[in-house]
Amino acid sequence: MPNTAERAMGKLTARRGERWLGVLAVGGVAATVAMGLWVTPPDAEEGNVFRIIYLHVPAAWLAYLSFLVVLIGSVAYLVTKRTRWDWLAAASAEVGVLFTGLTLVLGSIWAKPVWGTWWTWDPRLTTTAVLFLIYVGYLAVRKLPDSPARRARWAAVVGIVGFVDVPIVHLSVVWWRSQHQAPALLHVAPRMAPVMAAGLMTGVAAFTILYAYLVTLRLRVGRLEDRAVAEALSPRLGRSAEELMDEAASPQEVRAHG
Amino acid sequence: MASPPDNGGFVAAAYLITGGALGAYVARLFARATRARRRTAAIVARRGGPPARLERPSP
Repeated sequence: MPNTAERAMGKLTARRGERWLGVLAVGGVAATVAMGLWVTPPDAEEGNVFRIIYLHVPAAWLAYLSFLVVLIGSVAYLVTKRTRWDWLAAASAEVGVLFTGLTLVLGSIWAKPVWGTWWTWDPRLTTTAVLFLIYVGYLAVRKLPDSPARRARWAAVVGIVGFVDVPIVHLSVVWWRSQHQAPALLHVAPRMAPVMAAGLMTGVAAFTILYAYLVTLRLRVGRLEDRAVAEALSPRLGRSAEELMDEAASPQEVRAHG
Repeated sequence: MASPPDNGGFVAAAYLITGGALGAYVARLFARATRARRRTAAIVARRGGPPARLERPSP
């Protein structure tokens, strides 16, 4: 099963797959902007500011998705000890922090005209801010000066424990009295005007493709940077850069064969 | 029925910030990729070895 997942991931993150994802992401984001700004009407009560929903909800969905992938990558790394799972978790966490930050900023811009304040210690807002800090912490753990294997193990533990906050964020509007509306995709979208629901779904689909593209691009950047390090180390260690890269990718396999 | 409030400035800010943040992140990733590629090429050229195979099948 992990091998099948790795093969699928390999195809998606190959150069051609990355280019296609990039083209689809640009097209999807353009469609989201067109739907959000021109095709959909303003809300009867909130006016134009409701158009922020077409970015805010997809960004929040991606925050959940990113940290789910961090959880999967972290568990897979601890089980298989293959560094490629750790790389996937790291790439997803970086993109997740970006989208969680965007969720908070967009929510704040939306809150000002509707709630009359940029920020309030509402359960949904507070748990989302905690989620943001958890994954900033995750990225900080990855920068610790330690052996790569131990650092990856610590990061995986943070990635698994940190995911606990995701369902808390999602259910915070149900568990506690909150100013924030109910979960948009499950409760609000089915009651929206069809054109508004279509705009929201376009945004969710486009941002999901954008997420896949950004993770793929981030993985390639990581490989290129590792390649530069391997080239620099190869004369000192008397081994080819390819060997060093392969060893970094799956240390367990190399140990088993070496 | 009252007309909806005029709050288009918040929408413009939201869309511009999103575009700016995503654009800046993608530009940063491309810049890192270019820097890493140049660093690899410089190391290989200094060593006088064969040109590096910059990409490998992933992951």
